Amino acid sequence: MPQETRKSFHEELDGVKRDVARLAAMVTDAIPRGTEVLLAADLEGAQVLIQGDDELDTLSLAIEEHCYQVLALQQPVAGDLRALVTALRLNSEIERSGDLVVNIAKATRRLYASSFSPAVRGIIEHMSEEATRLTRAAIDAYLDGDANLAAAIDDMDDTLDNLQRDFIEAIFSAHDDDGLDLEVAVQLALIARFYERIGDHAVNIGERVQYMVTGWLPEHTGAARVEQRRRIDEGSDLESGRVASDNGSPPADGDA
Amino acid sequence: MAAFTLGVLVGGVVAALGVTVMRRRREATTSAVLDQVDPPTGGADGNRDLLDRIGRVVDDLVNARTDADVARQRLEEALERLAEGIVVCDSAGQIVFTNRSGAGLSDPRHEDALVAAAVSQALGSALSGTADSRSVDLFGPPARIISVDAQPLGDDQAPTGAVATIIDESRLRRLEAVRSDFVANVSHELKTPIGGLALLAEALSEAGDGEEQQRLAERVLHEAHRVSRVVDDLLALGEIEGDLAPRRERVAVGELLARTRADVAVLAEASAIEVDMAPAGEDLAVVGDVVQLTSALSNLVENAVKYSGGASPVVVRAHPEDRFVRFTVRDRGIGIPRRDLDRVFERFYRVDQARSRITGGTGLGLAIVRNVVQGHGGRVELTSREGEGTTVTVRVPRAVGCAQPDEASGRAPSPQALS
Repeated sequence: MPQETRKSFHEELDGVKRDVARLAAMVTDAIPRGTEVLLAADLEGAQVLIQGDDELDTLSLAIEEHCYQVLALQQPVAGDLRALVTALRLNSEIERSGDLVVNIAKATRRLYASSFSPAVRGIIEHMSEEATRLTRAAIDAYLDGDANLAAAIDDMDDTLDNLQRDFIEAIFSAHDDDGLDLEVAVQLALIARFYERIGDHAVNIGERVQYMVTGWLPEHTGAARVEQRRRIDEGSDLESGRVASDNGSPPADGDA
Repeated sequence: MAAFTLGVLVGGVVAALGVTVMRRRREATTSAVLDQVDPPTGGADGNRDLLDRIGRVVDDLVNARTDADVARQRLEEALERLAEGIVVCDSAGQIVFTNRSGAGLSDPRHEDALVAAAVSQALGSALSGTADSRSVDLFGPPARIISVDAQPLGDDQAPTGAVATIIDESRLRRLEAVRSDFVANVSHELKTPIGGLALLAEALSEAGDGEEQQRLAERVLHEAHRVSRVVDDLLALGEIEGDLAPRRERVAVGELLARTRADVAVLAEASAIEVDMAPAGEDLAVVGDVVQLTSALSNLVENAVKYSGGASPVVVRAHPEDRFVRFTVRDRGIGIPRRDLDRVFERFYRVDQARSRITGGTGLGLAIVRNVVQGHGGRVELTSREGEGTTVTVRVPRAVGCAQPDEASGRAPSPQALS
């Protein structure tokens, strides 16, 4: 019997899942750190976060290559294939969320020596909490194979979108009423976008998890509509064709 | 023929015993078995005697095995129930044992995934013969520091496995931070005004002009008052903490609110902030010390007024809730940053040093509130968001029984807390 044991597909998939969980944990730990660094104008902390992203990238790369390897060697099909492909897609969504935290840390440098009103700070804090919550929920849905939770992420994201709108309003009034610098105002607006995009990545993760469990994507609904329209068009073409060939007699009722 | 069969039987039993014994690596017992089994003496009695002896040896072995099992089970249970997490792996790195505290690391997600990764790395290092110690810094909230320590098992050169211990050091680190900050703060809070007094006194002695003398004298008074307030608060805090027999009387909530309103009246008027206090139910009362409770509530309302930041009123309410009375003090002011929320009850902890200097706070208000409330067997909670405001909720044990004095003795009935 050969000494080396060939790992089964499911052992490999479990290993991939563990690594994805770890990558996600690194990001959900980093999001509130980024916010803290921003609100405290902590340049040193910003540097630590920016460098810490290298670790994230390393792990993400390792996950990707591991997935390719398993695909090539094990050639999974159906549900197994969907599970592996989902891990690949999640890997890139999570890694991009990590990049967004780096963006927040970099903005700390640009905003150094500015101070913002408590209202502005409060909304940033709130957006950070929501973005973290969404990402965690999306990962829970993935690890539990919970399609219902995955479907709910999109609705949960509404809170974050509303907050972003509130934030833009708060920035405008800070600029108009309190004399907030225009440059600072623009930077803050960009930062709001970062949090909102983290939320969007969580929504994407939710969609991919639904795909993994049910084989359905929102794009399928769109494709179904295209197909339906095509059939309707074809049907009416047939109708007009029949009228022409029948030479004036009315078309039969109930023709498809 | 019988002897031959018996011989085979004995041989078989001995062989089986021998295999069993060798599987358990009890060489001592093997020789004990062999010692006890004499060659068959022949005859029915001899055979029965032999079988008896073999039976006893088997019984001994079984008992020894049971004892060892019990001991092992006890040890495993002890490991299982340790507060620290224990993870053991074999020489190939496969996890072979995880106790209950480390169970979250079996299928880890979120923070557990980060700890599990550290454990994995530490075990890997230990397997190569080098003990490994590392800590995982989790932001949370709640912020936690987990330390992971891994040691090789067996031979350092060729370990048979490795064991990792996982310990939550958060509380220890936090206490250290609180203590060192407090020492730094208290010396600052006392030394600064006293230093100021010394300088002013020196300037005063050199000042010629009567007007300048007057101005300097006023400054001296101001600083002296400031130090005095800090010392008063520190003493009050010390008194509350050291209070072995606190007063336990029936205190009408209405009276508590009235006293609080009186205490904060000057400040509220000066800040033009309205304090909205709804009257409490007539019979609503708590058990405790009216002076301490008033002090606690006044501190909360004063904070709310100071940090109200605008035109919105401070809302104070009191409601019965099970066996407590729940007081809430709510403002729509600047709020407290998330990073400070865990620490605001610490003595001398300031969210904003500059602002506290202006408003004349001592930094001890919330510490006093917490000590008074806890001393009364109650609870205090604080929720806040920057830009939206702060709500402090205090629960104090409620007094049961009516307010009418005892008919016979003419004394008020002694209050009992609802329990």
